Parts: sequence; C-alpha cells; structure tokens
Amino acid sequence: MAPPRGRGGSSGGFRGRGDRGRGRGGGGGRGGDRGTPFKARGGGRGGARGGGRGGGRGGGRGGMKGGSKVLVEPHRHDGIFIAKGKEDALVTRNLVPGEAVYNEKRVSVQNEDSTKTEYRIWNPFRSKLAAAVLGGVDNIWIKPGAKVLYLGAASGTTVSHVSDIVGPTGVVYAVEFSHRSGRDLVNMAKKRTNVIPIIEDARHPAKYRMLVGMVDVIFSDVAQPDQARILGLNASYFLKAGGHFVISIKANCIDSTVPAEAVFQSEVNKLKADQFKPFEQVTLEPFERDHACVVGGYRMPKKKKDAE
Amino acid sequence: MPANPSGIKGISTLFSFTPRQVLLNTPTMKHGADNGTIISEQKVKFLLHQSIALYLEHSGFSKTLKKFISEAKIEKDNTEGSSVDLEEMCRKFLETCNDAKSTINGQKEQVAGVHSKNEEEKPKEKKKKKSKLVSEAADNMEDNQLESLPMVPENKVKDDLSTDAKVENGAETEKQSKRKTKKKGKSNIEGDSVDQITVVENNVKDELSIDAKVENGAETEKRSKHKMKKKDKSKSEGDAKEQIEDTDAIVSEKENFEASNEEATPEAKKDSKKRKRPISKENGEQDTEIKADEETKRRKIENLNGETDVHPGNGAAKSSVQSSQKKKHKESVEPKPANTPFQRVQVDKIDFVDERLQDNSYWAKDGAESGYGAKAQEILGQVRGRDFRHEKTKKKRGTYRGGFIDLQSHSVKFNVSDEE
Repeated sequence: MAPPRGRGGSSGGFRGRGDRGRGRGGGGGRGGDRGTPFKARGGGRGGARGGGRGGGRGGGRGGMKGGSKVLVEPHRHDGIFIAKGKEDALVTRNLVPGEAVYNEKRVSVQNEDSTKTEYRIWNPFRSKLAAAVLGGVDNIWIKPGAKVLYLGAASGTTVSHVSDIVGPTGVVYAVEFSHRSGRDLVNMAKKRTNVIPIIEDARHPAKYRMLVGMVDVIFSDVAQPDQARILGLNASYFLKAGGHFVISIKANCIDSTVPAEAVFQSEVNKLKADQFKPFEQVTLEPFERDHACVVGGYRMPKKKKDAE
Repeated sequence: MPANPSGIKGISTLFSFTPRQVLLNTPTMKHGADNGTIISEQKVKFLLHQSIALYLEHSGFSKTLKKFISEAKIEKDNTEGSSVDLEEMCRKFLETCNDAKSTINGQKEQVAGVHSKNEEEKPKEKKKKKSKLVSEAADNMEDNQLESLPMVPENKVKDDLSTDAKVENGAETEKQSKRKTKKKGKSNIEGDSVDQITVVENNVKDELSIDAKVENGAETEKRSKHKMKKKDKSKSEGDAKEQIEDTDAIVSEKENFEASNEEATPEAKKDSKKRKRPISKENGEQDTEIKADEETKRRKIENLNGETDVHPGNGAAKSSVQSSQKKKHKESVEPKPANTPFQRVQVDKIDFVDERLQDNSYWAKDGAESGYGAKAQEILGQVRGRDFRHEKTKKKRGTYRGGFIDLQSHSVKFNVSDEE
C-alpha cells in the first residue's frame, strides 16, 4: 500500500499543529490559534488552522506541501535530516512521535519495513542552532549520544530538537533562569526523558553542579554582556577537556554602539583567553540580525591539534 | 611721667571691690618670684620632660615616646634619672582636689598666678611657666588647649553639639552659656583675627561644658572621651588614663572658677570678660608660634591615623580617626574622568584574524546566492527594527520556503595552527 497522503490520510505529509499547549511565551503572539473551535475538533488537522494562519491554502491543508511526497535525507550532521519535497526543510527525528513541542509541523515517512518515522520541522527563524546549521557551520558537535549542556534554554524549542539529535542515549541539561519560560521547558522535559531542565542562573554553575555531569558540548545562547565569562565558568565545571562549545553571540547585547563584527572579534578574543579554541565562525544572517555563531574546542589536547 | 604710675594706682583703687580673682590677676603678686626662677624653671622644665618620657615609657607608649623624645630633644639615658612620677603626682593631686575646698582655693591662687603671668610675659615663656607652676595635670590640659587650637574650626561643630546636649541638663548653665556666648560675640568684635575668635569660642565652650559637667557630676566620663578625641587629633601622646586624669584636673580647676563665680555673682560678667580677654590676647600672641607648629601637628595627626592599631584602647579616638579618613576619601573621590561614552568593546583595539570576519552580512558569506536564506535575506535585508521583527515573525510561522539546502561548510575557519 502506498503511503497515504493528502488530507484523507492520517500519517502522510506534513501535519498541522497537532496539539495545542506549549506555545512559546504562554499565550503571546499566537494565542489566537488556540480558540475553542480548534479544541473542539480534537486537535486534528483541518480547517481550524485556517483562522490562525490568515489564509493558508484554502480548505485547511497547511504546510509547505501537504500531500506531496516527502523524502527525508540525512544531513551532513548526525541526527539532522533534510526533508526534501517541493522545498527543502531542516528536520529532526521526533523522539516522542505524535507530539509537537511548539506547534511545529511534523512529517512522517514510512520506512521500507512499513514502520513510520516522524520528523519535526526545525525552523531556522526560531532556533539559532538551526540557523547556524543552515548557515553552513562545519561541525556542531552535537550528535547522537552526546551529552549537551544547553545554557539559555528558554521555552525549550531548540532544546527539543537537540534532544531529538542526541537521542535516547544522550542527555541535554537545559539551564534557564526565567521561571515563565522555564515552565514550558519543564513541561517539554516531562515528555522527553533525555532533557533535564534546570531553572537556575547560568552565572552560578555551582548551584546546579549536583545535577550536571561532565558534558561533551556546551551550547550557549544566553545573550548577556558577560556571556563569554558565563560560558567559561560553566565549561570549567562541566565541559570535559577536549570538549566543544557552540556559542551564539548577539552583538547588541554586548555593545550596540560598535559594529557587530568588532563585537564578535572581541568575544572570540575573550574566549581564546579562557582556554577555548575557536574553530569557526558563521553569521546567522538572515535568520537573525547581527548574530554570529562561534564553534570551538575547550582545552584541546596538543596531539589532536597537531593531527588536525 | 609721674602721672602714669599714679594713674595705674588709681585704676587699682577703682577696683577696690573687685573679686579676689581679679585682684589675683593683677601683676603685682608673683612678679618678682618669676624673674628669680627663670633659670631654675628651665631645669624644672627639663625635669618635667624627662618625667613625661618616663611615664610614657612605663605606660608602654613606645612610638609616642620616640616622637616625644625626638621633639623634646632629651636623651634617653636621662629619662631614667628623673625621679618625678607623673602618675603618682596626678593621684595625689586628685586626692587633694577631693579633700576640701580649702585646698581648691589654694590651687585657685596658683591658677590665677598663671593668668597673671600670661598677661605679662613673652609668649614663649608663658607656656613654659604655666606648665612649671601649675601641677602636672593642669599643664597637660593647658597644652591640650593650646595645641588643639589649629584644629578648632573642625572641632567646632562637634563642640557645639556636645555642649548643647550637656547644657540641657542644667537650665542654669544654659543661661550662663547664652550669656557667655553673647559676650563671646562682643569679644569677637574686639578680637583681631578670625583665628582668635574661633579659639575663644572653643575655649568658652569647653569651659561651659565642663561647668555643666561639674554641676551634673555624672558625665565626666563622657566629657573625658570628648577630650580624648580632641587630644588624639591634636596630640599623638594620647593616652586614655592620662587624659581622664587631665580632665579631672580640668574639672577641678573649673570648679575653682565656678566657686569664684558663685562668690561674686554680680560681677560674673566682668569676670568672664576679663578671663576671656587675656586668653584671646594670649592666643593672639601665640598665633605665630601655633602656625609654626601646625605643620608638625598635622604630621602627628597623620601618624596617629597610621598608628590606630597601636592604640586599640580607646574606641572613641578610633571612630574619630575613621570619620576623618572617610572625609578624606570623599574628597579624593570627587575628581571625575572625562566624558567618554561607555563601551565594552574598544573598536580601535580589535584586529581581525580574517578579512571575511569584517563583514557579518549574508551576502558576504560564500554560497549565499543559492543558499537557503537568500529569499529571506531579500525580504529581511530591506527592513530594520520593528519591521524586521514583523517580517521575521511571519517567517516563524513555518511558511518559509528557502529552496535547496546545501551540505557545504560556509563558515569562516580560524587558523588553529596560527594561534599557537
């Protein structure tokens, strides 16, 4: 039997936002989508979506190419895939099939052995890590089985994708200071067993040192003036020697009076002074403004460096 | 002219009913004796210094002793030879003070003698003779007063406060103080320089507060603390015991003064005036000397600030020192740097590792033309600020189609080997 498609099918193509709930910011911005008619429908796909979208494609078929055949290919980075249809989209394999985290679209494909795999679309405008991947970063070091310390987890949109990437054998320690967005983070972590939410200030890693083991990668998206220091502090506690870091730098958070490029360079210099070894830098344009992503290693052993 | 001596005589006859103190103040009494003892007085003074040094040594004020020896120019060997024990003297003096009023009266005569001398003799000798004739403690007190003169402007406010607070206890004293302040105003007009005025004020207030104390009888300790503060500021020889004894002595002296006041209440005004005037005169004469000493005193104060650890005994002194230090800090903080905008990143200090890092825009990135973000850049590159957010929010909805996703690496690599 061919994979079902079109609006009649239950598993083919991209799904609309299946379940309500965990929108970012708890009712800001997209609150209109959660009206009662939507709920009355039982959260399925269909016409209810149209209102929220302001148009879409008529009768309720949303998404990029609902109904067209979707082919999923692995990305250069482990755990990341590209859904290839009429248009490409970055996706991760859903760790919890059937559930969306932030009302993102999902696509499920049928494997050869007639099992279905569900993928979630990873929007680069919502996630800086996705933006970095699409920007062409060489290596994000976050791969299946990796232990990741995620600073600045917010509501957990990107964390959910990282959780997808590292899979059931990996762990994501998600640190977020804000209780409001931390609530969404905790709700997300309830469904995803490899996510450990930590509602603490990333400036004080000693407060959560009992929760976090040694990690392979630290992803930092704290957008604070002293983010290099915060990263260094956490790395000194939790990052293994030879581990890696991925930091997203928002220039305006550090100094809005100077060109963004100068800010990035000064941050890179700060990292260098803190036992980090930046490998590469990539702009997050056009997905973010005046952002850059820097990837590098921490306390890299000499031999390995020579080998490289 | 023969008229002049007769005139003086006439004046003295005019004051036939003047109180005894005024009479005692007249220069006739111990004049001859003073002249005769000038040489011996130097000896006495030398002896006094030695005894002071001895006392300091016994009490363990090593630094003060050092300073004192260096300033007084006495040899250390001599200190042991002197036999006068200050402590004992003070004790005896106090005992005699407490004994009876008869002894007080006797002392009063002595004090009066001092004043008479002050009026007569040269400024330098005045100080010395005072210290010689009056008992040891009294001498210290006088020194205190004199030495604290340069500090008067600073102390003034404190003095005012303390005196006010203390005066409240006795209504009578308050009245007296008011009267005296009025007179003080008069004397101010009469006074030549501002320095003198402040000095006079200070002295008067000291007297007042002490008077109040004598009447109240209980707060002598507080007063002594107050004194101590002053002394610590002015004198590095500060020692709690000595000072307390000093104040006791002062109190007793003032008691004498009180007693005389009570004796001649109608002429109290005159009396106080006369008393003040000699002091102001004396100050005027000594002004030059004081100014010369000011520098050394300042140095002493600074030393004292440094030596607070050495004298942990008196908390009052410490606090005063701290407050003075605070003041200094405030003054030092004042100067501000020039108006430069705050910048976390100094642009001119940054040199780029790679020239590609100098442009963070999308089109500068390689593979931009066919990249996934090209379409977004076409829209988002046009807008800034709020419009950018608006456009980006539209893209967040998931309707964005960027085309083909390539698997190339487009990042700017840092040359790792270069950095080593």
